[in-house]
Amino acid sequence: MRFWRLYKFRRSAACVCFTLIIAGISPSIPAQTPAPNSPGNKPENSNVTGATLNFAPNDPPGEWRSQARDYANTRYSTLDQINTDNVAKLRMAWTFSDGTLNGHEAAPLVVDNTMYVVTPFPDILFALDLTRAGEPIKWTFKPNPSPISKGKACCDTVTRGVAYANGKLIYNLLDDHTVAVDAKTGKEVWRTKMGNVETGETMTMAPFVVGKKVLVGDSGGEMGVWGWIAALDVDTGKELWRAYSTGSDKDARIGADFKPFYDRLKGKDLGISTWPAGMWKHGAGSVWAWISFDPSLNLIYYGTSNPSPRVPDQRPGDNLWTSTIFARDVDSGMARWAYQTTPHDRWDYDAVNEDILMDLAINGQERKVLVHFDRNAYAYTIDRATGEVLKASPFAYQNWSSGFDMKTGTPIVDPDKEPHPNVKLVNVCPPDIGGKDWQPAAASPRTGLVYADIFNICMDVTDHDASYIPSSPYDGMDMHRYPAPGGNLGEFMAWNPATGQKVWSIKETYMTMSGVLVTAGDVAFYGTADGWFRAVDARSGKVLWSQKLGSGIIGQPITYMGPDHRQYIAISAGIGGAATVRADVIALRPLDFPAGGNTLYVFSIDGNSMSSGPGQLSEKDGISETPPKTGKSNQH
Amino acid sequence: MRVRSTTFAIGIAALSLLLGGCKHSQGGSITTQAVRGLPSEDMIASVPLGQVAGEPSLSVAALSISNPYQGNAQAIQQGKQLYIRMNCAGCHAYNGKGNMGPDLTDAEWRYGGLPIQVYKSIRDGRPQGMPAWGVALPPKDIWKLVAYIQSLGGTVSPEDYEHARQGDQPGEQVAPEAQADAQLASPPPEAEVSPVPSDQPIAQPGLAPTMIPATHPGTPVAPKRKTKPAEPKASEPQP
Repeated sequence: MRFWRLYKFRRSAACVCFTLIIAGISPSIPAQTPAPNSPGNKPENSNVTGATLNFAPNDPPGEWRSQARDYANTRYSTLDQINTDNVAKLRMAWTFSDGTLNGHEAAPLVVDNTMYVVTPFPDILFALDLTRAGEPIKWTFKPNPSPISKGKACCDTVTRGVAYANGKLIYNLLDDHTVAVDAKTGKEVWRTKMGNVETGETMTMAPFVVGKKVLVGDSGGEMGVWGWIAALDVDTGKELWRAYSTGSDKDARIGADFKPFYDRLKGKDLGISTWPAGMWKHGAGSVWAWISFDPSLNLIYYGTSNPSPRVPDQRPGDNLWTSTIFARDVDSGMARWAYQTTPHDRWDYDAVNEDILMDLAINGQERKVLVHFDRNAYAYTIDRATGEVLKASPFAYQNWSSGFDMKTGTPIVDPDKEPHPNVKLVNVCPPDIGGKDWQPAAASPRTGLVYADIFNICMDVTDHDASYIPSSPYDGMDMHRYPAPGGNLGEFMAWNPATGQKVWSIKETYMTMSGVLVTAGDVAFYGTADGWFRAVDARSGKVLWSQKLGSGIIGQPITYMGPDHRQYIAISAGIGGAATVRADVIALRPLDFPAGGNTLYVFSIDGNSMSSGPGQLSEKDGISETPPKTGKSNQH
Repeated sequence: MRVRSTTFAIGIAALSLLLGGCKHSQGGSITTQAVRGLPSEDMIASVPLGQVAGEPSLSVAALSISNPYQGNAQAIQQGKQLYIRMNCAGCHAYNGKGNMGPDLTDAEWRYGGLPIQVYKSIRDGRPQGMPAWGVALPPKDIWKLVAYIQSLGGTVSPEDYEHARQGDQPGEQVAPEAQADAQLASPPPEAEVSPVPSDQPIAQPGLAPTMIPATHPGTPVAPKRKTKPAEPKASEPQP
């Protein structure tokens, strides 16, 4: 034990030096003092916005059963063993390499002392036994998706993860199948074909389960698909309803209950009449990211993708219901309201980013809101019962709009920033991937703030008229992206959704395209595209800990309680996705950029775990020996 | 692939106009009758996708079929138009450097980088999402696409093929020092469309005169470095 203490001391001393050196030479790392914070500095009653969050379905605190952790999409954990006092002592506990490359965007799940890790194509699912040293594989499920799908996915062969429900792991395969796998045995329970991959349609989003319903949607906004969201029965995979994003009111499941807040969204069959004749059929509006749910209103919230083709002059009109946030009754699928973030989307801005549900006061009035950081660079705080925009202000650098018209609920477009075919339009901000892409933010009920990885990027764009040829892209957008003013590509920020203002931010040289985790220890975690994983004081924005990983990070961090009653932090490192899929975008991906990867990293205080530490560990009794004390972490 | 869309048909028609009245009468049919100046279907059919069993050195004569349009500026321009209009750019990027689909400007070719192999990949499609364009485009258009791809610096020349197959090609240094040379920023400036027909290939098809034998094991490898066309100078974008 004495040796162990000495070893620990030496290791931490070495680490301090290393951190200081790095901080001295690299402008991408904010100045930081590695000394631990003085205890007892947590302010009371410091919820900046007074926001409250509903953590339904109230999963066990030590587990992580869905990508967003809860219906409200908070990505908040009540675990606080790891906190601002000791997070600087985080060290690697164990790792897992899944053998695939391509972008790793999914969060692992932890259910019943088992971790579930899904890979990009070919969408292999691993179950890891957390009760045994070395976290051995319990079973591996190979779904064998069609290789055709590899060439149809616009933005790398990614998956955004798995959902757990009723003893099953449910996820979407790139080739348009939703599968359910028995969590205990790893055997397929059901498989439902949702689309035809040969048309260019794929599926990348994580299913979202509400009660007995599995909600899934398609990808393919660049392929001229007919976008949709569907509900499947959790036990059988039978399709219960499907709502399309364009077409007739019947197709879009719009009926008498549909009451959009803004007049321009009212009328019959707008999903047809806001398009040139027939073009809605290949108008996209795919549903490829996140869904949230309010149990009190029984409504789900999600966004639809850009219209197809991406060339706007080919499709005059508002192109409803693309780049639109929908509220739908989860049982019937019928729309309650809709709000189009970017009418006649000319820049591929989509509206698919997550909707975080919060309850807070705006101008003295309590509101049930959703908070949405759109790719168009506006942060929206929207009344989720009515679809009324309460706050809309830019969170990232933008120049496509000159302001926001609160009366109509639409940004005011700068006509100089509208692309036209065969004309090179210079300096449009943000670019197609937005001021923030799909990478989900997190919200804390302790601070009342929302935390997000955002971008600082512009583009030059030349449109080319596109032909609809099934199996090939329906796209036409030739673009080049580069850093916006300031030169940094990434930024991590804390946002006040009640006022629509940035509270603090950390600029990053490279893109920040990871999910965010925030905990009751008042620590927020995020990653960078060049592989830095950081822990930040959720109140001050001070970086408390950083670790360089083996590849760039576009995964989503989670936290869980191990069977050894330690809190762990887990994150996948494997660069890819929309950030890097375009090899021509050298300005975003200099040649010293990390190569692809496939490793899940798991951290604990001092790196202690069953799989690490001095001496040989026996796994006879699962947990074989008392782990070394971790100091403060055991006091919580 | 079945051509189902009227939009597509219109696209083809528009393309025909765009290309200044190219005759597309043989479009959509695979024929064994050789179009004047183009490699015959029999010759193309004799090219295998993989190594020939039992032969340590692939010696299929048809592999060295050269592209009759190689280096033909008009054909390359028409190939570029096809590349955009047929949505090739949507997958392989407007500068050919890859996106959803592979980079076409490098030496890494999953199904072979000889002109005839690239031709066959376009015509027949490939299993990871590449559609077969042989039903939609006549052979001369596919050869023009190959000519455009060749103009980007991609593909493997018949002279280099033995070396490419044997892995004798020199490596590339892509460390940060090489960044200044890397193609950055803007793709080549948009060239004006010149609707000049160029149905006549400038080069006659046939066997390339020289097939350099593969290096013997144990001997140092010193083949020539593949030459690439001049790339636009890197320039920092000015927002």
